[in-house]
Amino acid sequence: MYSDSHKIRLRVAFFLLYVLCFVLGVRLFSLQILQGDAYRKKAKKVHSSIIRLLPRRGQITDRKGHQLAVTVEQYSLYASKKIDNPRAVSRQLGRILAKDPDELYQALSSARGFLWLKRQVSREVCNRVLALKIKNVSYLEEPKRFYPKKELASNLLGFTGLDNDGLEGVEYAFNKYIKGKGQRFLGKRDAKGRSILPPDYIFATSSTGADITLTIDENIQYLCEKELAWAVREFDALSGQVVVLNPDNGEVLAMAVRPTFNPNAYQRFPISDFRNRAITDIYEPGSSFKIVTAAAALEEGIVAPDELVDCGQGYMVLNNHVIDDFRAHGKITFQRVVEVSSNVGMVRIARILGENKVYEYARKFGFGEKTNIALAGESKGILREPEKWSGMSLGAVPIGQEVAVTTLQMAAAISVVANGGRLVRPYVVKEIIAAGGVPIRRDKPRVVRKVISEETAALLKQFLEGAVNNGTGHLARIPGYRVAGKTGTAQKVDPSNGGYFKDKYIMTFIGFAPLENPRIAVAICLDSPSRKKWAANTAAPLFARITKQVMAYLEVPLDVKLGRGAARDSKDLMKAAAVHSSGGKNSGNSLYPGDNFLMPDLTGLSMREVFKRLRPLELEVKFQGSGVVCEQIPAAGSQISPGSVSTVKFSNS
Amino acid sequence: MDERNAPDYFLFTVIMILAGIGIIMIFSTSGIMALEKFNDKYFFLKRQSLWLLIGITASLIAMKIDYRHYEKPAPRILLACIVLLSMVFLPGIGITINGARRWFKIGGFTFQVSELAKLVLIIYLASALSRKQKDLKNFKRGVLPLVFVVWLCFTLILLEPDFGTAMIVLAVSYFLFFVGKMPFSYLALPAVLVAPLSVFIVRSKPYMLRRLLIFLNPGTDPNGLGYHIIQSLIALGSGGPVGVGLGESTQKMFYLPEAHTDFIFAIIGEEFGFVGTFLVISLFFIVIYRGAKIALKCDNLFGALLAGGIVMAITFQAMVNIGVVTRLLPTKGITLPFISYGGSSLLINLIAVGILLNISAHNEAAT
Repeated sequence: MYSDSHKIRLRVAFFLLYVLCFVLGVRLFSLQILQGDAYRKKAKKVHSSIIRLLPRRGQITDRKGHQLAVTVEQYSLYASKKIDNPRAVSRQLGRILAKDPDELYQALSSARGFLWLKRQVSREVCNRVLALKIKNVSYLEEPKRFYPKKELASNLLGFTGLDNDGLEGVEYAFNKYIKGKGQRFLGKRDAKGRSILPPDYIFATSSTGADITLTIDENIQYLCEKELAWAVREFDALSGQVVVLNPDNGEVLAMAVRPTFNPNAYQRFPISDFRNRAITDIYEPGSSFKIVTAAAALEEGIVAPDELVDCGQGYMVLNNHVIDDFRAHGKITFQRVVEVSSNVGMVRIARILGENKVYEYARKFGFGEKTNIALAGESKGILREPEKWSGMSLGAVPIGQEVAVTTLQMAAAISVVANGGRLVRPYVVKEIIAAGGVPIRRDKPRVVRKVISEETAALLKQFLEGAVNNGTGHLARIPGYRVAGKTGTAQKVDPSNGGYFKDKYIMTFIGFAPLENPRIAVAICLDSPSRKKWAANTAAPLFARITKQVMAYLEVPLDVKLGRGAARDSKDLMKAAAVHSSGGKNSGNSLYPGDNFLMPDLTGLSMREVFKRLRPLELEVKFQGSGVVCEQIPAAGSQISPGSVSTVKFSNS
Repeated sequence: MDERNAPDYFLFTVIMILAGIGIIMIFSTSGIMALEKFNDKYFFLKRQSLWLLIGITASLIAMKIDYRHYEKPAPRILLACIVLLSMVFLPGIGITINGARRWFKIGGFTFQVSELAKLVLIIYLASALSRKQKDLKNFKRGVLPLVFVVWLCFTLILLEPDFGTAMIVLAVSYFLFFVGKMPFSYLALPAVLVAPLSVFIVRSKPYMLRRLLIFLNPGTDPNGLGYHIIQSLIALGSGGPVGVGLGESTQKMFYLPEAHTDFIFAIIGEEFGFVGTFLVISLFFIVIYRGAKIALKCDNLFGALLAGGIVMAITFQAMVNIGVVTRLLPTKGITLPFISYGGSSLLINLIAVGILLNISAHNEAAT
């Protein structure tokens, strides 16, 4: 039944299909290759009638809803069609818009279709024009990004470019959420080819992007920036960063960077000022890194807090590499090693720990990996695997050399000590809420890992309090609160040759307050302050200035009783006295019960120390003899009042 | 005879590539529009993907069913299908979209009966032509019933109205009559009747042709049609050799609003340039080539006609669509098989491919 003649007909039919294919191929070649340019021109002409509206960017606020980045409306006036009576209209408009009426008349009478009258005017001007009720004159809203607080948190926030895309910081990293959908409208053409904006579209505002709430607290951010700016100026540093975290959940409360820029006029600043150095810049931290080594030693049970460590004559030699302390500490307890920041003692302990443990704990503390704060450009720092260590590395890494860190990593690391042993992921975006009020994303605290036990963390706290009270960090002390912290001064790495600058130092301080139930963890880095040599004199006092104010702002209850002899040292007394004298005698609910203080125990102090200690009490002191105190009147613990007379006797025995 | 060889999986792969291109392009062309209309830019993508899954399943099933089972019940299947076609006009059953009653609602999905009718008519004609080979010289007994059936289907589909599918039905029927050895005297008849008339119309009153087209396809007004074709050419032409890149088409935004259906090929041209359009044509070329091989290798006329009709229906429709998009042909309302958005079309075409592959599986064993 199926004959060859059927097959011939089939072949004929399919041959025709092949021909069709070929014809279409040729047609497409002609359209796309031969006439491509002509059509591209045509397309350009046709597409020129598309009117683009920028989407309205969502706002960025701090944790309490204070606006940090907002979108403000600008109004752009236009004529959509030919205007009746252009002479009169141009006179009216010229007055309101401050434009030359003749020019306006020229433009209006020669316009073939859509015409901008004036772009980006205020709402007031816009309303005045609309009040004239001129036919075919209307306006479009055009959004513009504005940073009401100018420099505040600008390195964190970033900024947007001309096309409304975020270029740096949060604006960049979360662009897809905040940007909103751009809308394009077709300015349809009438029969004569003139563009007409369809009336229904004119008032259609472009859609709004999502709002972002940061974990930042505007006030803490402000005072950090203020104090950081002070420190950079005062100590003549190249740059500086301060990161304040809530150590319990990793919320970034402040991230201050100097140098900075004004995002409203970013074009006027060098690109290097845009950088969020707290996450992008890495440096050798020096002694503040010793918390890692100390934590490892305690957690691994290598050494007990009160065990004596021989720090010898203040130096040791490891593979022809000298490690020195600037001072001979001799045999001191391990706690003391941390407090006085002995390099020799720390390296000695590290050698017992071994390379692998030092590396393991550094990794556990979050070094050598990104914190994943969800901002672009974060550096993971440098932490080499033990296999790549040199013979000198065990004398370097444990004391914060041969490693590079970011300030954010340091903040996360000190939070581990503050919160009882957990590494929490720092995060800066609290939530993202769509224009309709629907939450899109809500970042939750996340524990990355358990680093050390609660007991180890408690011991470290005690060490770091000691480092502040009796060690290198004494300028970090603040009245009314027990604080913990560690300084670090490291020679700055010269990136040109991998060696060290002779006279440039990175000065760091990491700490937290109050000691029990810490509310903030702070990491500070000052790059090359030229006026001081040690972090103890730069980063530590900066910590005190910041922490003191944050404690007051957060209304954290005092954990050190002031007055009544419980005052711990002269600084507290100084503060007490200052408050006392300025607060007036009738302040009934004063911190200091009554008008009297207790006489401190001066036995064994030098004259200089006595002077320092008693000065704030506003006593009239009579000194007798020389040497150290052997006798005092009134006796320790007895009540004294300002202005009363006391006698202190010294002897050399 | 019952030995089975592997079906033509190469052909199946080519079809899958076409469907894949379709999925990508449907998302590219419909995303923004779907977001505006349904607040879900994946709206069309999701539906087409679901249809594709159903279609592939149906295709694999069709691949397993011996195509010779369709031969005997073909008239009854056609009768049922004609009933369905008529039911579209009953209120409450048919769904009206854009002024045309083409759809049934099944669950959440709508189904276009004319697509089914196309396949069923091919099966019927293949079966009738192979059975009536001896009667074809007799006008009353051989030709007239066949022409009547085709006319009935054509009219019902035209009334929906679905001008494009009606034309494809006509073309495929003509192809089958031709291959089925209907005498040339009858085959020439439409040409003899239509040609002088159309020459007369075009010569004397050019606008008459346009009017005729509007009459046949009232959904389109000539201004709108012209507008779309021009925008389609701009899309293709501005794509140039390599295109503007996936998702970058501007034409789909405003100028070709239904870009995911009839004019999807123009957007392929804009986004991927000549490289993209050439690829698509090449894929259809392969479908013709492998399909023709299946039809020629078949050992019986029913199978050969069925295979030929299926290949013709799919590829000719593709050619017409591309012809329209490139302004070689004057009509509108035809989708690009496997690529354009449309669930019933995709499903039926995949089933047809399944039948084709079943024929191919029998072929190999027979030779």
